[in-house]
Amino acid sequence: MSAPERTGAAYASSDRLKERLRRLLVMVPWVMEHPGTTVAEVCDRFMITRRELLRDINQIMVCGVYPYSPGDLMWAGVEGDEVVIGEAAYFERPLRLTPGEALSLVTAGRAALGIPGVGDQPALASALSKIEKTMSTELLEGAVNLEISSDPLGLREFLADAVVGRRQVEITYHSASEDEETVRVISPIRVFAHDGKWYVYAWCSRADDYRFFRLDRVKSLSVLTDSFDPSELPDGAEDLDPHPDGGGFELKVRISGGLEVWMTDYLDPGSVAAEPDGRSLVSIHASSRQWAVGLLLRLGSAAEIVEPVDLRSEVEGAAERMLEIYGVSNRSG
Amino acid sequence: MSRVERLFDLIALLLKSGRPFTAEQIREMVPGYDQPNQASFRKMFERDKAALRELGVPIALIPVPGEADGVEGYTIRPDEYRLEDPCLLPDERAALGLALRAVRLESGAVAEDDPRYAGLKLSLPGYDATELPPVIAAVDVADGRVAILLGAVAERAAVTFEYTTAAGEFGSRSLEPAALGNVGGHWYVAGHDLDRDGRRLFRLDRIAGEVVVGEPGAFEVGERPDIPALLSAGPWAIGGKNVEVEIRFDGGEAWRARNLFGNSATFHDHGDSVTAVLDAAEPELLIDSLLPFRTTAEIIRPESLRRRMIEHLAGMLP
Repeated sequence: MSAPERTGAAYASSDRLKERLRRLLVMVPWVMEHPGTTVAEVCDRFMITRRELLRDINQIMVCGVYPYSPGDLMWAGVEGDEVVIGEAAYFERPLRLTPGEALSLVTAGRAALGIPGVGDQPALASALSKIEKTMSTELLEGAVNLEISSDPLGLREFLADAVVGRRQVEITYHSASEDEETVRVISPIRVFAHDGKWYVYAWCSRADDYRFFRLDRVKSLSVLTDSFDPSELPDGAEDLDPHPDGGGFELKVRISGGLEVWMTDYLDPGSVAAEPDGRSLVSIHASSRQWAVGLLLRLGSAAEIVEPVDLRSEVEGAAERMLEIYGVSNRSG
Repeated sequence: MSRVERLFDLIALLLKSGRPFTAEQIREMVPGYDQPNQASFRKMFERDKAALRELGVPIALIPVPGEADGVEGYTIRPDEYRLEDPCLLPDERAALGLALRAVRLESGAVAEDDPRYAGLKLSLPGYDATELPPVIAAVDVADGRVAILLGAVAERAAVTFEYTTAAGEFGSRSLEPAALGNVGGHWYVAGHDLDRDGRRLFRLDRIAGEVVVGEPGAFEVGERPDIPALLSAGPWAIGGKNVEVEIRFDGGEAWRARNLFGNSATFHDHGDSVTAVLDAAEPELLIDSLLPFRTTAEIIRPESLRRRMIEHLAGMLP
């Protein structure tokens, strides 16, 4: 759902106007609820310059109700360093939450229940319960539940402590693309959840670069006594969006039997094209051959490898080795 | 006279007076509506009302008491305008403020400023914007239907939509929604499915197009489904009758098996191997999760599942 496209100065100024009005409607009750608040505080909380604040104050001064005699006007001013607003009893209580604001609170609040250092306090759960009660006459408790991802070993707590304490961490990591286990000493910068998975963003001495490590691929972890100084590390581009490393290749498969839904759901394919025989030609970016073989094993006979052709023998080899575990040999002679 | 001033005065008038005013009275009493003719005033007034509604200001049009029938005026009821005070304690405010900082909502249904304004309206403490907390979560709320469904859950209104199941079946569905969940980065809605007369779970990204919301108060809610719990047992656990499944793993892979099954399986240590025993309503769905283990996992029982795995593997050979 996207907003209708509009161009031109008229729309831009209408946007700015709504922003200003939105800010005023929230600022007036906020200042009244925080007597003694300073110019600096208001500017910081509302993200405006001192000049914009003074402009807002002048604006409020000329507002009021009919017939606009002096007693009917609102009062706003700066006394010393303090911002004062009065004579606006009808604006004392803030405007109700918009649907977007309500959703922000409930979504962020419930997601945060899974974040160490934030969610483990009982105050968060009780705050959410109170907020949800005001959102509807029905008790909304339990109506929205977010689970970022399972973390059965509870690694994110240890890593969070390491981030705060600036301690190095040794991890045994099972990399999906290489299908091998490595032991690494990392300097963790941030723990975060993205797209339903937990990651740690850290400086990896083995790679001599920053890396994202998925927590469900960490076999074991120990927080070391060695500490590190983040300012001594090179600048990282912490955009918190783990993308596959450069390299990889394009995998093309022909699939049948309604698997398109599954693939589109989970893999974000580059393209899906319907074919005359009812199958679909799907193109996906594969980060490594190991990863591609893993995917093809799951798709099984419903997938025909189109490109690269030399993957076929690798997939067949993997299937044969697995069949041997079940006591089934496919070799002749 | 700026438009901001006019709008502010309009809100102040309607909020303070408590009685409805007709459009004509508003035109006289609020400066800035001095338009040359009726038509241009009307147009200006309509745009103003639309702007206020977008900001969440509840302007209602009601009959004016004491006037002839059919004469209507505009009003803002203070109890509709005002944020109901949730009476948060200081530590509750602090916890909620921290939550808004630690969770990044990837926008769409939520505008970029919404979390900040929610914090300001509730007088939550501010934080240093330049310092990121050690742990952050990003939650995708790009899908506008999340907000719509939350509204339907709150109002107890039934919803209808077009849906494609995981098996690829497409059709129209009707639901009495009781809970929303976000697990593994995907949004879900669960409730009583009116066509199938049972509890069902739907993934939002398989809903095609709009969600149509019915009348409020259409049903009663019993116990709300716990969506993360429903999904935590794995897709193989949702369904009817359970079958007991036993799988052997090489000792070195035990940690991955525990990651996969969590508490839904019992583990037995056999020295250099480990077995997992669990209940599955749809055992075939386990195959997909076991394939990544390659030769380090073996299905022991039931025999039907072993055969299914062998069939799957053999099907790939020429």
